[in-house]
Amino acid sequence: MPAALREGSELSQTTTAAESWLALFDRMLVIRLCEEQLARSHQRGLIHGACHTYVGEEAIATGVCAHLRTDDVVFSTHRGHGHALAKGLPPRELIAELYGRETGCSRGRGGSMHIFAPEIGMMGTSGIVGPCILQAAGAGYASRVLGLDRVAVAFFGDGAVNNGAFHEGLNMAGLWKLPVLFVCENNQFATEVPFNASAANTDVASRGASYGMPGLALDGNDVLGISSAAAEAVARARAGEGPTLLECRTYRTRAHAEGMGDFTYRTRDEVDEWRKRCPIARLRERIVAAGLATDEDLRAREASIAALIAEAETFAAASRPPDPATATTHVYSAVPAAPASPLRHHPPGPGTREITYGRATWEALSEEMARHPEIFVMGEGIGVRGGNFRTTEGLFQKYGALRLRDTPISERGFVGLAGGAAMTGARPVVDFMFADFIMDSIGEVVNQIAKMQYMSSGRLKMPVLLRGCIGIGHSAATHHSGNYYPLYAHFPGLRVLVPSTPYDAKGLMKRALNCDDPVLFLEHRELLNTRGPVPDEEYEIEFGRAVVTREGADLTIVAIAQMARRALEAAEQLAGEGISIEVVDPRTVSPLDTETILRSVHKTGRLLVVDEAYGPFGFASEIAAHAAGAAFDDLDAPVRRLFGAFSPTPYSPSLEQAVVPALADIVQAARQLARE
Amino acid sequence: MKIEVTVPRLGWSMEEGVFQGWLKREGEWVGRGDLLFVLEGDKAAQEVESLDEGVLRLPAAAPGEGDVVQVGQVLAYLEPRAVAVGTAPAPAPQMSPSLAPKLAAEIGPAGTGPQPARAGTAVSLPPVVPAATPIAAHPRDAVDSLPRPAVAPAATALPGARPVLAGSSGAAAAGRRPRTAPPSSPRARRIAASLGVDWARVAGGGPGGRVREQDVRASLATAAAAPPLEASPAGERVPLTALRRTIAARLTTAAAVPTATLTRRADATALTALRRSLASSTNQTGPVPGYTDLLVKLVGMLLPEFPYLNARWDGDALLLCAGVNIGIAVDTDAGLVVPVLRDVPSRSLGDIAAASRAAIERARANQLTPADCSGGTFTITNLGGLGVETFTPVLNPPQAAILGVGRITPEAVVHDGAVVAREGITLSLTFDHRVLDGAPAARFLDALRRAIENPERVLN
Ligand SMILES: Cc1ncc(C[n+]2csc(CCOP(=O)(O)OP(=O)(O)O)c2C)c(N)n1
Ligand SMILES: [Mg+2]
Repeated sequence: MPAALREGSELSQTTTAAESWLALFDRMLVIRLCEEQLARSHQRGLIHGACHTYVGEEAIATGVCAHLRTDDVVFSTHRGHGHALAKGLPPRELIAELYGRETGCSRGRGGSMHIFAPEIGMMGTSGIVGPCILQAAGAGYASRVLGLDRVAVAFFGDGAVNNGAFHEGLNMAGLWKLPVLFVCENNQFATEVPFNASAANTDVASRGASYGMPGLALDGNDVLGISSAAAEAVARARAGEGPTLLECRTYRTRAHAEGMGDFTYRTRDEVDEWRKRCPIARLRERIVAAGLATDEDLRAREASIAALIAEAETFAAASRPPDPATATTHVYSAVPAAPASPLRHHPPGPGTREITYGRATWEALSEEMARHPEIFVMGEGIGVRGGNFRTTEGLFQKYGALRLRDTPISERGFVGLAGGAAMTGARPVVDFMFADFIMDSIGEVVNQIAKMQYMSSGRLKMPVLLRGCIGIGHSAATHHSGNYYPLYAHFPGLRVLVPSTPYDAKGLMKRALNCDDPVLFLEHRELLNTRGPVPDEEYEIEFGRAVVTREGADLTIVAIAQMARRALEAAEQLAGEGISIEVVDPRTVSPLDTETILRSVHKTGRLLVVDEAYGPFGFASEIAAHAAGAAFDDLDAPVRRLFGAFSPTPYSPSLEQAVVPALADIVQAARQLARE
Repeated sequence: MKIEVTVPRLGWSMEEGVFQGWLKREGEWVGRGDLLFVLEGDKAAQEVESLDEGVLRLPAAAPGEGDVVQVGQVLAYLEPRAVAVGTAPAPAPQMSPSLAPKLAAEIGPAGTGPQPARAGTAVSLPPVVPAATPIAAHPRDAVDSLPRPAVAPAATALPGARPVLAGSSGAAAAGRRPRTAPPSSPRARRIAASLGVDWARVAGGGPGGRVREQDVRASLATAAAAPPLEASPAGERVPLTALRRTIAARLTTAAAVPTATLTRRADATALTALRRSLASSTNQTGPVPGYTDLLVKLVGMLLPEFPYLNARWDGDALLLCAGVNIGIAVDTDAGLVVPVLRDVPSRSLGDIAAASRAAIERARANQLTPADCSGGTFTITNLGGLGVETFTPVLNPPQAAILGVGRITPEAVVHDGAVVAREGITLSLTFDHRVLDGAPAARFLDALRRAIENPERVLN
């Protein structure tokens, strides 16, 4: 076996031209033969899901990755086997993954479109077109925050360049001079749609100019040309000179995915024509012509690579499938990060200083930024201005632009970037002002950030904090008043915090900034100026710990955010009528502390859930379902729910008040339920 | 298309019953009108006739004898013999609510515990659970563990006396809500179980009469304030049968009716003499009339003159009943039942005696149908045979009156200034005070006294 071809080895340290050309030849052959094996396996039904091969395009990953170090990071696409192999993934781990075995690189959690090997800088292939561009930008940003000369590479197809991720990602990378290579593999089709049918400007390389970076058009089947262009781009990136866009024009000579038909949108002749331009055959001719090796030598190398692939297949086929008992492990970080301050759960006693909710979260952020240099904040107007809601007041002056980053209005872009930064060691905080704006990035949150720890079988962390205001009030109208926590709580992988007091807000934000899971920190706008006791000393509040904010005997009200406060007012009012109400504030919607709620229902026998968000499939429904199931024998009356009207939020105060449970509504519902 | 065999509603209030057994075997042909199975409803067991035809198919989960079944529950299927085209699904058996029989509610002498089956029942019964077996802890388990007859009982034979264990009680003791019980919250049931309170008897104060925790606790407080009923919480818990539950419900209804009871002593010397002569009569063909029969006849003759005693409280009106149908309270192993003797004034004493004897036998064999017990306008309950001299009968709503008959005892009476030996009897009349006042009730009682003292006209 050639020396350069130890599994997992790097190709970048080759010194002589002979060695480096032969290494490129070997690597391309590994990809080709492995893909051909996978195509065969697919036909035999050994691959359970999709399988997009890289046949014909091997020169690109090989030429680029030849210049990467192990700690450089690669973000890839649905057609990513070649990227993983070029970055050094042993073929056996790739085949085993596609076979769904526990020895697969993603431990059987991913398959072809979720290939993870973060140990060697392979940060994942993706089933979604586009996000890898943003994640690579994020990794580049993390390199800068962490002071590393690490380079990030995004591989993507021509299909991705008409996606917002491309434009937002390249803009931010160009703007902030991030150490990234954007490698477009223009194989002229997105599935079956020709590139010229989807792009107004088919000159991808020329688009670099729009985003302040060099754009190079390359022959994607010429590994030597790509290698030398990549060498330059990597050097530029490492030197802090910013990103490069490489457009590699190529062609895939197999169908879009194994098992798909290929000749409804292109001809056999065209495919045959491109087969003649096979990058491996071309390099072989160059090697022989240059006298670096004989045809016979190369055939010997080919034979040993074929043996390697055969052995990899045998290994994969012999591997065990993963234990079904582990199907839901790694949804969250297995070992929760230790708190940096003592955990506390109950509000302090009298005599404690009182500050506003807004100030409490500011203290949390400011204290944790001092503790963790990996934390950086992104958002619109959070830099010099200090945030629309003064969330970052004075921090820019203290920590500078790199850690207090004003962003373009590219929500999808900077959320995707934050995800990539979190995957590569930084701890991003995204400040949205209003949580409504997160909706523009929902795919990044739900498909990437929430799933990344799981897809990587726990080898990647995802410490992203997404914060923004929620809630109805002040005639904010419908684009500045959404309550989105039920939506986020529906998805595994996210933590959803909805604190109602300054004390809870500070403790939970500090916990969030110390944990490794992605967190939605949703602040009710009507609470920002409310005051409450917050101790001077630092503390954290664990997720999933509800607090009983008032003890009572006759009825339990569960409510969060503004409704938690309103429930307390209602309880006070009804105490005058002799009705004793217990109020439970879960504080976090995911995880939800059902135990405390059920304990309270066990005590009182009656449950009213009050919520400002919509009813269907909501917070109140979830709690009601828990109670009806686990507290059935405790219920002395049916569970009642009060929730917001099923309507966008109206503007006029008279209309706005009509869509939110009012104090009088809560009082009436509680009174009725208590007497039922 | 197979046709479902479902549990019919027997009487208007039945929601669940106790399955007593199949009258056909698996695979046997069932014709329209054939008797298919026996079901115990609220008051009596009934042979249920098939409205459809087909081959009987019993699913694996078909109920066994003693199982509690819900109205509408599928018991089995009837399959066409050959593939028949367009078989319509069976119409659900219906019963007019107005025909719904009423059941007497009166406390008879305590009859507890399993008793041997009476003669005349022709069915192999499941073995009676040994007395030491704890019955109530897990009634469902107990029922399910009963060996079932290997073969379905043949033909029309009915199970007779059953151990108290058999089935219908399962629901309540397990905490499940019998459909006839008031609505209740799960919490109330849990707390009731922990306090040993029967929540089905608690008056609910919630919406729709729902029993809530506070109602259970309040009932306990009331019970505690009352003289102690039982000191010991230890002991055997006997599950409620459907009949016992019906009796309880009827009594509870009766307790809400404002009643009064008048007591009157009558000279029964002539009556006893008459009975003796009937007993010794040689041309007697039917059974010898008992005192109850004599009183049924006497009361039946009087009632047309006292329409307010042969009446019903009917919501917004009084219903003066057209016919005179007298119910007689019969003690059976399973509990009290009240078969009704119809159109008494037009029937001879011998006829009445024969009819009552037949009704009692059917009652004791658990063969009464709901129709046998429905339509009464007046009830007579006689505890004289058990040695009771005076007692307070409980009204059998919606009837307006019930007559309690005590034991006939010899007594010394002052007659024309001299002490003479006579036979005496105490009559107790409980009546619905909303329907009539005390004086008319007293006049009826006095008329009855005179009739007892001059009983010969029963022979007319
Ligand atoms: C956001 C998104 N939309 C649609 C798809 C479905 N899809 C999978 S691959 C593909 C074509 C991608 O074309 P291109 O980026 O040129 O990559 P190629 O397959 O040509 O390598 C599409 C549309 C997807 N995975 N993600
Ligand atoms: Mg393409």
